[in-house]
Formats: sequence, structure tokens, C-alpha cells
Amino acid sequence: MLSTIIRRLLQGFIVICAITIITFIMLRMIPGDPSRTMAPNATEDQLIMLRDQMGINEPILVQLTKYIRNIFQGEFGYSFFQRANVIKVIAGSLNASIVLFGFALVLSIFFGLLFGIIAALKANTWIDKLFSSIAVVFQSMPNYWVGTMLILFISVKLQLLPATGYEGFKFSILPGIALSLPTIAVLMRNVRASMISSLRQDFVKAAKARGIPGYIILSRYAFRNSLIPLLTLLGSQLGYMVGNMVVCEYVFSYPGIGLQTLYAILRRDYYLVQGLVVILSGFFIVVNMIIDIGYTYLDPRIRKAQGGL
Amino acid sequence: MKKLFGILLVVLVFTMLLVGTCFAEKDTLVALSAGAFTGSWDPTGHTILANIRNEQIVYDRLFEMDYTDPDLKLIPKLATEWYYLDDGVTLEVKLREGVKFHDGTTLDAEDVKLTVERFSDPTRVGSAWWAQQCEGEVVDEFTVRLRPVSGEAFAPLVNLMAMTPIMSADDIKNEEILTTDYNGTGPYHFVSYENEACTFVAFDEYWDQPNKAKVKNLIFKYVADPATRLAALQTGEADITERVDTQQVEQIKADSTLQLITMPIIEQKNMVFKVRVPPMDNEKLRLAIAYAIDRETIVNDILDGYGVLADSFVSHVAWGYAPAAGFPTYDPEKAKELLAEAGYPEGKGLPELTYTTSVGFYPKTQEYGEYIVSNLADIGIKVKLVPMETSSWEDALYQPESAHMTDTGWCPPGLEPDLTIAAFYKGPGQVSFIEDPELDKVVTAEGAETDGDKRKAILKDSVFPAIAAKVPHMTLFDSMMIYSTRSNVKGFEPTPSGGMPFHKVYFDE
Repeated sequence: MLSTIIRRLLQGFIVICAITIITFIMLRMIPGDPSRTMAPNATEDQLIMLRDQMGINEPILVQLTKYIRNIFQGEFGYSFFQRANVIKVIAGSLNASIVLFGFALVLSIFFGLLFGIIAALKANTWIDKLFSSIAVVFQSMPNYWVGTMLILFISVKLQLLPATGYEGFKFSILPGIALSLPTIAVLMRNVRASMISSLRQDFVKAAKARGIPGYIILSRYAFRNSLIPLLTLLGSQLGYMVGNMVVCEYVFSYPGIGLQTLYAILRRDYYLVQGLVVILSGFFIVVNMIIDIGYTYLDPRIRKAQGGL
Repeated sequence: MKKLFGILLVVLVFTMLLVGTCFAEKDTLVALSAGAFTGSWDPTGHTILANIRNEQIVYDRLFEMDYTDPDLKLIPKLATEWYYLDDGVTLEVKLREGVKFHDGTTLDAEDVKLTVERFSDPTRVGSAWWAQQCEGEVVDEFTVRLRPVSGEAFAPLVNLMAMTPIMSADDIKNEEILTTDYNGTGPYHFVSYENEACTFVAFDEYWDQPNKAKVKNLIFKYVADPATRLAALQTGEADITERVDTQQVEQIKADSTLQLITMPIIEQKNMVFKVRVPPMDNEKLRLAIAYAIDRETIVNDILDGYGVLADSFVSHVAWGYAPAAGFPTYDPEKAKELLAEAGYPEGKGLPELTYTTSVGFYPKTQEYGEYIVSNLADIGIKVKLVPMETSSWEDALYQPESAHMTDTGWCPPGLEPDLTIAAFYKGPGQVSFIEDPELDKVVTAEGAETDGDKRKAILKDSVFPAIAAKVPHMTLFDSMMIYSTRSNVKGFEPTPSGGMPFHKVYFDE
């Protein structure tokens, strides 16, 4: 297990290095210039001076070398537009995003599993059909539309929850719901299919024949057996949710790292984009590692293949 | 099923328990900006509107234009008197005594001298507004003389001083302070900048007590999405928003909790010809295009009337505005004739022209861009419209050969006409890169005339007709800024230069 973790961490480190270099070069290749954004009508000479101050006037490779050297000294650069250290800027918005993402994840897993299990247990009844239909609707609705509708109905019409900003958990509820709905739908559909399949397996029938109580069959036999494909699905859904988080944070003007990323890209705030990309890449790598470890915990066959842990 | 409903009920109750007061307190004014801040608080280190608006409430100017006066007469602020000396070049200014900066220091002549020298320093980005470098001379503690370094008359100086924030000399000498904090003499002082929001608090020791800030706290926040800005207003999380979409106007009118404010502003939207890119160096071709554009339909139908049909090369609200003789108006037949005179009868021999435009900031650019393409197709000119993301477009905008034509907007921070005229038409003009001795001559002449009436006459009789004959830019329309506020917001009087004087705002309970 330990060697697996170390191997995955090393792989992750190489991936982050590659992403950092690719992002660095791509950002400077695409049209747009942060100095121009700051002073649209400045003369070329003034822009050169501004770029000098920003440290972006040198050849790309020189800038890249300096950037990598600084990273090893713990310096991730400076946000041109927030006038603060990139780490400080990211730290300032990370809390809001963690709350949002965590809340959306809890909603997704809780309701995805709950509705999926109910639909499986009531397969082919009106409940199953209702839940499956709702899942299709949830999955089909674009995030920005759901977000706008939630704002109009819950915030504007009913005045129940705030629509924009972040000053505490209640500001995360609406964006969290908008973010979780597609994932709830995906999880529900897959849990349902997986559970139906498990419930038809011979070992479940054998357990029933042995007189094992239904709730034990459900939780220890059928549900646990359904978890491995769900874990894989959840891993891919987390990536999808991070992408959707950018949209949700924009619609709700929610000051998290998704909104920071969007604004930083639009303004060509190079070092902030770099820092955010590293954070998000690191998140994906850690999530995938946890999922891999989760496999070995849930599936004895994988444990045995990895050395009998 | 009972369990399921039970769980849902728990979630609902939990949610309701979290619901509390989520609306702005009444000692706090929350205003939303459509443009982002730079995060650099040095007023000479940028040229963007969001920061300029901050400076309009944190700093004072020597004097201000009275926007209600047709002649835009100047109202004393930090200056009590100002006049040109006999040389016709030097502006002498007497300062108000006892004015305090937010850090407690007192305003004096040195502050004004260093402010002018820093702003007009060609190495500073803020000098983009200054056609001439200027210097100051301290006569005594409260008297300062300002003059161009060249020794030649510089007519825009007075109007420039009506928009120039007066900084502290101590801060100017210490750039670290200047870039990281605001320190002015204005009605609000700066507290913090976090998560795209600037926070201010009313300055109790403001020298102009009748005009001190009426609401104690101010939050000025960048929210990019117009729908989100409106939603924040509807829920009461914000009190004022700018750049309302024209599609949102009816919704606001129907909502009794909101009010709508429209204001023709100094901003003009232009089609700019990149004259260094053949065949755009052909004046007749530029004129043919200018005559082919049906601007009336753009303003009335595409913009739903939220724009003012332009008839000059400065906005209707600018100092010295006059209709330009020879300003092109929609006339397809004349456009065809001009196209033939340009050497391209019915467009024959003319390559496909590229026309860049931005999406996501200015309203309806792509919609009216497509309409212009169809206008030009009607006279035989093939045009490819290239919509671009704002940063990419902005980068291309200031490149001399990035397209044949481009859409752009221009919103200078004051009503001084040279902020537009000298910037765009004195060679090399911004965006178009025109260099024309005739235009240079007339623009230089108006900039050197310090007598206001004579200067206006030069603008009307020489400058505007000269531009109309060459059209490096075709002005499409003057922008109209649409603001919306909560209905309990009173005293909000935005200025034609795009300013939002928040210190006059109060809540009607």
C-alpha cells in the first residue's frame, strides 16, 4: 500500500510539473496581454515599462526558468490585478470553494445513493419511474440555467437565501444545489443499475436462502458490491464538478477559486492562473489516489494483487 | 417513503434555520461595477474606469465641472481661484486652506505640483490623458503655478485639472504607499480590497461638510455577469448597479422595488479603420463605408433606443461639442459613388475586409456588427466579422495591422475633448494609427488656444470637418449608461463621464 502511495505521489509530481510548464507556455502564446488590460490606451513604451515591472518582458524560457526556480523557494509569484502573493489570493478564496464543493459533494452522494437505492428496491414501480425521470431532468439542465432559476425563485421571489457573494454557509446553499444536481442524477442512475444487478446475483439469493435479514443483505452484500464501479464514477464526476464549479461561482458571483480562475484567465493574470492550475491539478491527483486506495480497501482481489494488505 | 419524506423535511428545516437576514445593512451602500479593478492604487498606473471611479470618491480635484450647466462651468473644490498669467501659458491656482488628507496631513502647493508632474510624466501610464508634460512651481504654501514643460500653451490643462485626483506629495515620494493604499482628501477613505470588492468608510473630517458622505460604509464590487448584478439588486444584496443590459430594462421598470436611471455619457462607440493596412489607407473607401452604415437602425432597433445617434467626433456631452460639418450619414447611393471613386466600383477588386469586435463587455457588439456587415454587403463590400474575447480583442485593438477595421468604445474620464481628439487624430492616432499633417495641424491649433470660446470655434470650424473628410474613425453612436438602483436609494447622480458619486447617495427609509 505504501509503495502504491509513493508511486502515485511521484507520478502526480511529474504530472504537475508537466502541467505547470504547458500552462506557462500556453498562457504566453495566446493573444492578450495583462499590461494592456491594466492600461488599454498606454503607449508601447509605457507598456514595456509596465511589463518590466510585471516581469513579463523577458523571453518565455527565461521567465519559465525564473518561475520554476522561485517555486522551489516557495514563491509562486504575484497576482498582477490583486496586488498580492498568489498563495495569499488562493488561500483567500479556497475556503469558500471548499465549503461549496464539500456541500455539493455531500448532497450528491447522499441523495444520489438514497434515490438510487430506493429506485433499485422499487424497480419498475411508479417510484422508480418518477426518480429516473427526475434524474434525466437534472442531468439535462445546464448549470447556469439551474443557477439562474434558483436565484430568481429562491432569492428574488421568495427572498429565502442570498443570491451572490460569500459571507458564510448560507451563501453556499444555492450554488451547492446547482452544482450537485447533475451529479445526484448520474449517481442515482448508476447506483440503481448497479444495485439491481447486485440484487440479482447468486450470492444475494444464497444469502436470502440462508435467512439473513434484508437490511444486512442490502448493506453488506448488494450495496458493498456496487461500490467499486461507483467509486470510479465518483472520481470522474469530481473532475466534472470542479469544471461546473467555475460556472456556478460565476453565476452566483461566489468568490471561490472557480471565479478566481475565470477572472484570472480573462485578465491574463499569469501567475495566478499558474497557481490555480497547480492547485486544481493537485486536487485531481489526490482524488484519484484516494479512489485507488479506496479500491484496495473495498475489493480483496485488488488487495491481494498488491501484496496482500 | 415515510423515511424519505422525513429526511427531506430535516434538510428543509436545516436550510430554513440557516436563513437569516442576508440583505445589506442600511449603513452600508453596496454598488456593483461591471469592470474589474487593477489592484494598483496609484492613479497614474492604469487607465481603467473601475479604478477611476474609486479615485473619484477617495480623492478631490482642484475644481469640478458643473454637469447641469450647459457651458460646463467649473465649481471650486480644492482650488478657490485659478487664472492664466499674462504669458497665457501658466495657470496659477490658489488652494483652499485646512484641507486634510485621510492620513491627517494637510494639503499644500507641493501636493498639487507633484501630482501634476507625476500624472503628465510620459513614463507613467496615466499620462495617456496628457498631451503635454507639465511642471509645477510652488509660489507659497497655498499657491501653485502649473505650465507645460514645452512652454507652449496647453488649453486642456484646466479641464484636465477638473478630473485629476490630487495626491499627497509624501505618498508620491514613496511609491510603495501610493500603489498599496489610497490617501486622498475625498469624502470616503479606503479600507480594503478583497475578493474583487473595495470597501470604504466615510471620512469624518472631510473639508466640505455639506457634501460629506451620507452613508457610512461603501462596498464597490466587481460582478461581471449582468444577470447576477440584477439578481443582487432584486434581492437587496446590492443597492446600485451599472451597465444594465437593454433586455433587462422592461423587467426593472415592472419592479416597484427598483428604479432605472439612464444617462448619455462621454463614451462613443466607433468603427475604426486601420489606415496602415491597405486598402484602408484609401480615404474614399473609408468614406464609402461610413456612408453605408445604417446607424439609425442600430440605435433604434438593435440598441432599443439606448444610445444617441452620433453627429460628431466627440460625444454630445463633451466640452466643445458641436455637430461636425460633413459627418457621414446613411446614404447607400452616395456610398456606392464613393466606392467607385475609390477604385472599387460595386466592390470589384476589393479584398474581403476583416472587422474585429469584442464580446462580453460592450452591449450588442456582435449583433450590430452583423448588421454593419450586411449594410456593407449591400454596396458590394465583403466583410468578415471576427468576434473576439475581450482580452484578445484589446490586445489586437492597439496593433496597427491586426485587421482592416475594428469596433471599439472610448470612455475618457472627463469631458475635455482633447482626451478624444488628441488621442485619436493627432499622429500616430490610437487604434487607427493615422498620421496626417492636416489633422495634426488643426488638432495642435485647438490645443494651444486657451480662450474657451475661440477654442470651441476651432473645434467646430476646423477640427471636426477635417476629421469628417478623412474618417479614420466612423463614430457610430454615443453610449447611454443604464443604471439601476433599489427604490429606496436617493441622491444617486451619475456623471456624464461615467462617474458614480456615491457620497451623495442616501437611503429613504
